[in-house]
Amino acid sequence: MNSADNTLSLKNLTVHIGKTLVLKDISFDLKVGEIIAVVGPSGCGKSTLLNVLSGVIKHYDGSIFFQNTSLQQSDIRCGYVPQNLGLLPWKKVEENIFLPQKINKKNAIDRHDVEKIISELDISDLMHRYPSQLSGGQKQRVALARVFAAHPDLLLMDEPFSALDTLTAETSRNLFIDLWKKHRPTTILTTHNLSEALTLGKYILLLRKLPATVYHWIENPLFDSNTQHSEEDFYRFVRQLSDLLRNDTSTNKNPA
Amino acid sequence: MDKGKRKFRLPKSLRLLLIGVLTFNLIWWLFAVIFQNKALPNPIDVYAIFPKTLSEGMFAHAVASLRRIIIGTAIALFFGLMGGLLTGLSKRANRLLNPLLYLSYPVPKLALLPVVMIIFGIGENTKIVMIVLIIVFQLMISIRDSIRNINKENFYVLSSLGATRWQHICHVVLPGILPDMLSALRVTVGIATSVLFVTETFGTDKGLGFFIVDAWMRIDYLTMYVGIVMLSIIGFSLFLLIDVADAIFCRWSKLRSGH
Repeated sequence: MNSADNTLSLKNLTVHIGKTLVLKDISFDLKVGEIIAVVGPSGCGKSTLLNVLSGVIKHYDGSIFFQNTSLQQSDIRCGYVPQNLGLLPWKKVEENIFLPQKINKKNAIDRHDVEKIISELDISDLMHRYPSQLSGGQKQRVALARVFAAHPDLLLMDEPFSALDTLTAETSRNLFIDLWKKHRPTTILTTHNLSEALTLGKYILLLRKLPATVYHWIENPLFDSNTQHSEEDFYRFVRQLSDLLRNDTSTNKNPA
Repeated sequence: MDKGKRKFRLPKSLRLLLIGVLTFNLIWWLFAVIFQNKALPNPIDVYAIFPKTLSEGMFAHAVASLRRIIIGTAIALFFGLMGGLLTGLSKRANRLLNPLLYLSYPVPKLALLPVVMIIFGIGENTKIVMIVLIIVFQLMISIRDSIRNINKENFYVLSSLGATRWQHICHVVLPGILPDMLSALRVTVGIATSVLFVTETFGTDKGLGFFIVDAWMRIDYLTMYVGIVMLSIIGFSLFLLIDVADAIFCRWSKLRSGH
């Protein structure tokens, strides 16, 4: 695998937490502006992968390059939506949205852009509320506004829709897709929901159980395709993914 | 309508406080009427001489006591916060300091009074050091545990934005621990007032502890009760001040979703 100019490139990423080997030899290349869904059983190390990419975990073996620059040395803007969304409960919605800019000048936020995003997400009336006063779906929209307002180069989302009920999750997913298509940050999202992975991911990365290793890389034929796919096609792919997860026998098929 | 602009907790707290004060005085009055004992005077008689006693010297005693409580509590809060931050944010520091905290916390610090007197003399310093010694560990432990209870994902978001250690402390740690810190402060101010009473019974002729014991020795029970009421008012006022700070700065922790 080469660290091409226009990719996020992970090579033999290995992470120990304490004495436990959590990630082992994770390698893949993802073109800038594309989206990958990482799927794997609970506790397999999906969140650890995002914590490494976001800079929360700084000690690892292997290399991560973003557009040919080591991630630790690069000055990329990173947006991270953790499982509980990471809205600071003591800051009002508006303060939460402008937090990236307050923390680091590289995350400069254009007020006009924010207003547009806020209006698209229909959260204009919530700006002076605290997160504890919001419903799950509203919190989700605020979290989306926060990451997209700062125009991240790398967007990381850790099971972002898992805490929502089915209907709210679907609405939030659609809002996310709309925003993502407009901004197209390089995105890695984790999920244990196969339908969600097929809906959102251009690529799907299947991880084996602890220590997490890549055992399948799939290009999603249903993603952003001009060809109309039937519901039957969709569920056929879901079944195929499900079988792959159950069998866990295939070889690593990273297209890079 | 924006709910965040409507709710304010203080008036209810004030109402409850008023009810509490009235109930307490009613019970006191009932006991005074039932027992008819000189050692338990009628609250009406006590409140009647309160303004005169205050203007005839008790005010200076109250100021001396309040000064000691504020200085002692402020020093304890500073060291408690520093120690709490250190042990809450650094596993290594916690490993080193935890045995010390664990051993020193249950030691009855009031028993150390003679030692503190030998080291700091019988003057002002001893009184303040005793307050600090007794409440600093409680504050430190509360702050450390509160830091540990902050959701780790709040730190993750800041780390991903490239936040410095100082920004983590300003944007996550301090606002996150504030409600617990104020709760701990509420408890420790009550303890500080009690400790103050004991330490003011020696080596000084200023302070409400001295004023109360002096009146007691002169068998002037009415004046003694005026002193007790004054000390209680100081305790209540500090308690109320913390409540106001809590209502203003920690409103987020009291709000619940309306959905």
